[in-house]
Amino acid sequence: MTMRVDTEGLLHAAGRLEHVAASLFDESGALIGVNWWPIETVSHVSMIEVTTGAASAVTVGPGISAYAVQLTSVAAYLRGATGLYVAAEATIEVAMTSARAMATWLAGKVLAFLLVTPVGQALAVSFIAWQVAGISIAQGLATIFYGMIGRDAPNLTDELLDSVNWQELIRAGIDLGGQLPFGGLPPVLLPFIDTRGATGTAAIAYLVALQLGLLRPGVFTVSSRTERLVRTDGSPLTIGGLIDGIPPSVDGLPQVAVTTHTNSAGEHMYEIAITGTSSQDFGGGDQPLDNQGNAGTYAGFDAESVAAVMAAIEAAGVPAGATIVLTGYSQGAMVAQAIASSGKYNVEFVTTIGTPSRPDGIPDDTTVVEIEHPEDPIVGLQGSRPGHDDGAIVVTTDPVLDPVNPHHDGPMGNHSQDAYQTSAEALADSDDPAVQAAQEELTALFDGYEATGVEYFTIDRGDGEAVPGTVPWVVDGVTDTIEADGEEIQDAITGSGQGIGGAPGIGDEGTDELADAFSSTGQGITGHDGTTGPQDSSRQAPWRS
Amino acid sequence: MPHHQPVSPAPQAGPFADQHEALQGQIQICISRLDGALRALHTDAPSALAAARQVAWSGPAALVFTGLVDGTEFTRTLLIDTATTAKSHYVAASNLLTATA
Repeated sequence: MTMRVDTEGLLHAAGRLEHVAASLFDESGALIGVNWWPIETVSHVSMIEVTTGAASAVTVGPGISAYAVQLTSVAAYLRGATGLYVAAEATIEVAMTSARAMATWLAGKVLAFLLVTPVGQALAVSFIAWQVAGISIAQGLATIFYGMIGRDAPNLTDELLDSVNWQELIRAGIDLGGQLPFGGLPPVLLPFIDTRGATGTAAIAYLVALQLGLLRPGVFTVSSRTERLVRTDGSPLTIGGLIDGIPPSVDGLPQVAVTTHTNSAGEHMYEIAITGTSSQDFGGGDQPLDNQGNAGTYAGFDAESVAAVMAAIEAAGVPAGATIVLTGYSQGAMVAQAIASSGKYNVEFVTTIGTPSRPDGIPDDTTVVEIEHPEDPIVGLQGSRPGHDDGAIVVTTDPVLDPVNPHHDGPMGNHSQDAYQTSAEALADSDDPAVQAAQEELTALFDGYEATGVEYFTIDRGDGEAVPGTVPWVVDGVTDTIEADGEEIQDAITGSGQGIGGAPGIGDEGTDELADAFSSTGQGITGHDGTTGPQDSSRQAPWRS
Repeated sequence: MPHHQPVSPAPQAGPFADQHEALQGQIQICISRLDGALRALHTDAPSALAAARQVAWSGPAALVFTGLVDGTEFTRTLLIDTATTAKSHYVAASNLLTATA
């Protein structure tokens, strides 16, 4: 804010008015001393004119005096205004200086909050979205506020949803996440950012949450239900068929389906399908594929959904080195990519829908097909992938959305699992040579094999030992950093009591209270005992019956 | 025999000649003072007031200031009109004095 007032000009005008007023006062004094009606006029014919003139002239002197007073008042007003403006300018200058200092101080705190907490990161993305949509932060925050009290901010939500391609926006935000200034963070944390950009930022957030006790690292128990699978139509397995085998992302239903394919020689091949985020909890329940699993896996930690699915695969009896085909949706896609890159299995084919991560570390001879909807916000979490030179066949296809289906509503409608299944089924008619080649490869892969059974696994957080995961980005960056600097990181986060970036409140005293406030009081639910045994069923999954 | 040119008689001052002269002097003083007043009223006060009007006033101050400046300019206009009228009467009186001297 600036004020542009020509105070010098005002003072000059005031000076001129005062000078004129002084002259007028002198003139007035001279006029008042004049004999406007000389006595000699009594005996002359000019008396009428003189008398009339005198009647007017006698008022001029006092009038000029009054006029001079008025000019003096105007001058005083100008001088007063000038003083006020000068004072105002000084006040504003002081205020601006204070505001800058405050902003600098606050920016460090806000930046730390925005970068190292999931809520902050969500807000940061929102701020960028609002900027793109031409929505002020105040309006955006109003939307959040209205949402918290269960009301809609009129028109704003529609405007936001209509104006933003969330995937593009989030891709840009993720790219930016690795380039923001991190002056407020302890130096030991910087390798996270340098190595993995946005996922490094997520790693910091995850670490902070762990240190605060807000997250409960997963240890998992597994239960399963086995069903006999009979391929009824004899048709070759398609990409759409693989996607259709992914369990629905519903809390309480199995998260992993392991289908065993056997050839005439008795050799097995395993089709492993992994569902997406099935609970919006953040570690509070027994669902490992919740948002804690999301954040932890995205951040590159293997103790979450990757470990949970690995536990299920082990429980399925899939031996190390077995030939497997992986399929995953959303968080499950991220897990599939991690397992494919582990080297623990001979992964021939990976198909994902709506994946938030890039297929880093997957062997070159593994065929990777990623189906993405162009406005799926979750896909934007990959950041930019110029040229898709990571070996994956990225199929970008517009979703078929049902306007009356609530799951297809809004930006997240582009991420709905059934919309992706529809898109995957449509690939059977694709004229994309890469897709056709992948389909032919899949057909050849399963040639001579027959599905002999499918086992559905329900995984719960429990008290068992974590299965070490193989998330490639852990290997590449985060784990190394943790192993090398773990103690220093912990000290940086909690040891000094100053918290991240010196921010008070994330430290000693606040930790317990925060932990009590956010974490589950229980120790989780131990797993169900496995209920196994063959059951008659078709290829169709039980939740579709 | 010398010729005698007829000689016009010297004008005879009237019995009120001194009064005429004194009155004319008084009237000329009035005219002079009114001229001075008019000169003063035509000095650069208007431009100074115009400069003052450039200030972007707001709130009650705007009302007061606008009224003050408007009133000042009205006063000036009224004074010029009054002084001009008065001067015209004194000029007329002066002319009468000259005509009747």
